[in-house]
Amino acid sequence: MSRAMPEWLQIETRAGRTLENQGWRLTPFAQSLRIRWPFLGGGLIWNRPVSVLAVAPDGQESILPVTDITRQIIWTIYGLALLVALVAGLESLRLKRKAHRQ
Amino acid sequence: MSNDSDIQIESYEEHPSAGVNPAGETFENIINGFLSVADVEAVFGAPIKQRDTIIIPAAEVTSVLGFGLGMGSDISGEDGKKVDSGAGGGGGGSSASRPVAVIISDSQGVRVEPIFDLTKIVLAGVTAAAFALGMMARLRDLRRSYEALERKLR
Repeated sequence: MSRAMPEWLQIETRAGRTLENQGWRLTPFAQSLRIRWPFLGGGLIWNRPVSVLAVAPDGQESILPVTDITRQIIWTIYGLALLVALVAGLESLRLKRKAHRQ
Repeated sequence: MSNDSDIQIESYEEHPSAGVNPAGETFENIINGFLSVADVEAVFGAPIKQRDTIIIPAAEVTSVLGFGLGMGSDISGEDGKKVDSGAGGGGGGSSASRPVAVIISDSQGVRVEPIFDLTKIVLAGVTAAAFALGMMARLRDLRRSYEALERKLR
């Protein structure tokens, strides 16, 4: 499955090979992001697992998301650092304005 | 001195290396390797079977590639005669993989177990803490100078 995107950017979700075990059928899904450098050759590819479609022996389907807990924690840490920087920046701006008024 | 009839000229097609372009082949291999990162197989590893259990490792793969080519010629003289010309190119790339989760299928069903990468989290934490401390130290200095200014004005 590919989304309608500009030529330099492509996001695609692909299904892997279906595996069978104990009557369960597993189909993994991965999402890739492709960026082509505009004026150069080459580009960037970021490929990550997104989910697994599990079909039970009775035919019941369930989608199990693949959560990247490490990435979530890292981005939360960076977000908090950015928030601290934003608060510090606003506070310094407030102090500068106060000093300017005096 | 050899006679003209003794000289054997192999045509380009007859030469053993005919049709082989090492640079082109290398370049094609690099591009193919780069594009293979986008495959599902690059993310989900080969399943590991242990009795009734199947374990599928899942990883995040990132690949960056960049290259450039250039050519030029030095034309001098009034007659526009080509004196010198050259071409060159270069490139570089990097590929990284990080385990994200394992998919386990056993008699109890299917489950996804996330992988907790403590090293990456600690590194991100140290970087973020250093950045935040730097910002706070800057703010403290600013506050001190403001207080000094206030005292001076009084």
